[in-house]
This record gives sequence, structure tokens and C-alpha cells, in this order.
Amino acid sequence: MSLTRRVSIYNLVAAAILILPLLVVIGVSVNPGQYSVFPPDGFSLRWFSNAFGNHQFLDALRLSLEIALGATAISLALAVPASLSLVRWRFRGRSLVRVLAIGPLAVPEILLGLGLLIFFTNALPLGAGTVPIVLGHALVGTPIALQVLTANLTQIDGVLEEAAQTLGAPPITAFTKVTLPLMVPGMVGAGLLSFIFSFDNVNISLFLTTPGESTLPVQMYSYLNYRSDPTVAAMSTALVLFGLVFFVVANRVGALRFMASGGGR
Amino acid sequence: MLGLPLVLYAAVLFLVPLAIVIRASLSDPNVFGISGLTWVNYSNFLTHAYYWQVLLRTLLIAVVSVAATALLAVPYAYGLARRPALRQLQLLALFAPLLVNQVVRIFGLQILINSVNRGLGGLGLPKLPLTYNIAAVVLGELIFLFPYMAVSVFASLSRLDVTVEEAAATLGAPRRAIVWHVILPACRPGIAAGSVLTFASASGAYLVPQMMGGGKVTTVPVLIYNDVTQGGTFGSGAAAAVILMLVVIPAMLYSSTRAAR
Repeated sequence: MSLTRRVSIYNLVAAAILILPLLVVIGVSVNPGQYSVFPPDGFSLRWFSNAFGNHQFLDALRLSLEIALGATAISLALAVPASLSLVRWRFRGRSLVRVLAIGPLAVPEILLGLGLLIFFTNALPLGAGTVPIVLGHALVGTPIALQVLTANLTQIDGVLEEAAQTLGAPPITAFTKVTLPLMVPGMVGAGLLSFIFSFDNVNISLFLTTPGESTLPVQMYSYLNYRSDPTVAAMSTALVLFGLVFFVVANRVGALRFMASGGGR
Repeated sequence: MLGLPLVLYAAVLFLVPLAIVIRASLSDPNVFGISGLTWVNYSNFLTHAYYWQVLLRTLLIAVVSVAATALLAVPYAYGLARRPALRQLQLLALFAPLLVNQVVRIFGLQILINSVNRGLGGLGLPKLPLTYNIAAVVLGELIFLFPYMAVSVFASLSRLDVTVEEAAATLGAPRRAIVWHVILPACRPGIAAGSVLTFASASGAYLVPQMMGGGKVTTVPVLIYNDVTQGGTFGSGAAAAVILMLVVIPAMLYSSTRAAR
């Protein structure tokens, strides 16, 4: 059988077009000149040392990582118990949990950003900043985590836990020894996805960053508004490589499969 | 009840802020913060042709982007489902771009368009009209929305057994009839679900119109963002957000009821 019978040419072209902007960024990052052009006129790593020697970028990177960790912790803490209750029990208010969980994904993000900004600057005397950003990112991360976790849980047979109980295990032991270990791939996948969705978020962060404290995407955006040298491309190349590691890990634990079966965002 | 923390979290950080946006849309636009109770933000939006243009432009971009994305993503999802050689590559193309932030991807896309145009110029050919206009914004949206739509359609297509297509072919159905009567109906729930997500995303996007449009394509989110960050008052921005929501949400509800069918 020839290759074209096993893969459509259209898909290969579309895949190339989708990946091309990332390859262009990698190409630009090694350009020795002052401008972001592709193909590069030579090879130089100077923009990498520029990007990683830039305190604003480094501070933003650290802040983004901290925010993503915080948002992931909240997303998992909310989504793990909610997924158990949605998959294992029938109860009144089940659809309420579903609607409230999916709601933030179905509303334009600009609205979430604006709402959180007014909430934190006007209704509460907190002001914008890191904590509101973490809370806002978790709002988007939770439904994504919930989809992955419910897709994972529906594949775990509840009979296993019942069998453990029939054989004399107390309910808590039956859960922690049987169901919980089986939930680990789902939790890893859910955690990775909510981490990356927070790390990449621009729309909510834009509203809530304060001048001294930018997340990395916001810092890149404001840098590009004033300068067009390949510093951003160099930082981006590092992020593309980082993203690829995530893809490999997420694919390995099956997170992408759950993503597809849950509809995903 | 284990779902309670999530319900409380969403109530406080999702529903309350939405209510506050509605409240802010009724506040006096000349006073910093939220005060007074007035329709002036709405009447101001609805009586100026400029705002109508912005609203219509936003919806036009969103509708065209979603339609184009569906048109291009359905054959991709079908190809992925039926001819899965190089599956990892086909999946990588969908997921890898999602793992890198929007700023980077738009930046790459713009440089790509510039290099293609330089190449075309070198050959004496006309340039692609894709710098700082609506077409560029639609292209940017298309690249962003494609993976979501393709994954969504793929999920509903994977429930279609290949033997159904084979049976139709055995019974003498021409290829076109199989596409219309077997494959597309199986894609429909996925297209509808994908449209809901992508429409919410496209109509609420700030970065794509701002960067791909080079500041020349004003959409409602651009209007809202500029209003809030430059003006320091929330009234008119919040009213624009509520109006956008009133247009977008019924469209999405309609689409999701079709998905449920």
C-alpha cells in the first residue's frame, strides 16, 4: 500500500502550515542581524544570551511559572473531587456542577478578564496583581482539568472498587488502593494541560497585570510593541522546545486522548 | 458533596464578576469606579454608527473564521480518522501550536507572511493582501481555531464505524452521496460543538485582531480593552461587553441545542 493511501496529502499540507509559524520563529531566533527576518542571514546565538540576560524576561518567566503552578494546584483541587462526584454519583444539582464548570469556557475570555478586573479593583480592595491572575487562570484551567479527569474516570470500572469492598476493604482503603492509583494518568494529564493553559494565557493576564509584574506572554507582547529584534524569537524558541517536551509527556500519559474524547478546548 | 468547592469557586469568581460587569455597564461613564445608575452607556453605543460598525465587524470576523475553520478542519479530521499513518505528526500539528502562547504564534505567522511577500515581490508577483487588515485577522483566527475544531470533529467522527461507509459503497452509493448522507451527518455534533467553542473564542479575541490588524482593525474586545486600560472608567467598556454577550450567547445556545440533537 502506498503512503498516500495511508495518509491524506491534504493533512500533511495542513499539518505543515500549522507547524510552520513555530519553525519560522526558531529560524528567526538564530538570525545574527537586528531584525526579525526569515530565513535568517546566518547563525548566531546572541539573541538567546540577550533574552536570558534580560531581567524583565527572567522575572516574567519566573512569575509565569509560579502563577501556572498555583493555578494548576487550584484546578486539580477543585476538579478531582468534582469529577468523582460527576462520574460516580447521581445527585440533584449534577447539571449545575456541569454548567458552572463549563461556563468559563463558553464565555469570551475578554469578559472574564474584565469581570475579574472590576471585581478585584472595585468590589474588593485587593487590586490587580498576581493573586487575581492565579484565580483567573484557575477559572479556565478547572473545566479543562475536569474534562480530562471525567474522561479518565469513565474508563475506570467502578466494579473494581466494589470488589475490594466486598472482599473486606473499608471504603476509604478501597478508594485509595484501587481507584486513586488508576486516576493518576488523568491527574497528570489534567495538571499538565491546566499548567500550560495558564502559562500561555494572555487574555486574562492582560487585564490583571500590574506595571511591575508582567507574565511572560504579556512581557513579550509589550516588548514587540516597541522593538522588533529577535530577542522575543529566542525566548519563544526556548518555549517551543518546552512545549514539545510537554507534548511528548502529555501524549505518553494519554492526556491528549482524554482531551480528544472530552471534546477539549 | 464533592462538587461543592467547584460550585462555590465558580459562583464567586465567575458569576459574581459577570454580575459586576452588568452592574458596571449601568454606571456613570464620567465618574471613576462604579457609581450612579444610567442607560447612557448603552444608548451611547447603540446610537453611534461607529459602534455598530465595530460590532458588525466583530461578528463578521467571527462567523467567517468559524465557517472557514469548519470547512478546512472537517477533511483534516476525516483524514486523521481514516488514514492514520504518521498519526503522531498529524496530532502534533494539532496540539503543539496550542502549547505555545498566542503572542509567539502570531509573531511567527506575521514573519512568515512577510517572507512570502518578499519572495513574491522578488519574482515580480503581487503580494498577498494579508498585512494589517480583516483578511489577516481571519487568517490568524483560522490558524488558532483549527485545532479545536479538528479535535471536536475527530471526536464525533471516531464514533462512525468504517463499515457503515463500506456498506453504503457496496450498496452502490456514489462517493458524493456517502459524504453527504453518511460522513457529514456523523460530523455534525462535532462541528456544532466545535463552533460553540471557536465562536466564543473568535468573538472574544483581543490579541489576534490587535496584532494581525496592526491596530487598524477595531473589534469589540479591542474597544473594551482600550477603553478600560486607557480611560480608567468601566462603564462604556462594560456595556460593550454586555452587548457582545447578548449577541454571542444566544448564537451559541442555538448551536449547542443543534449539537444535542
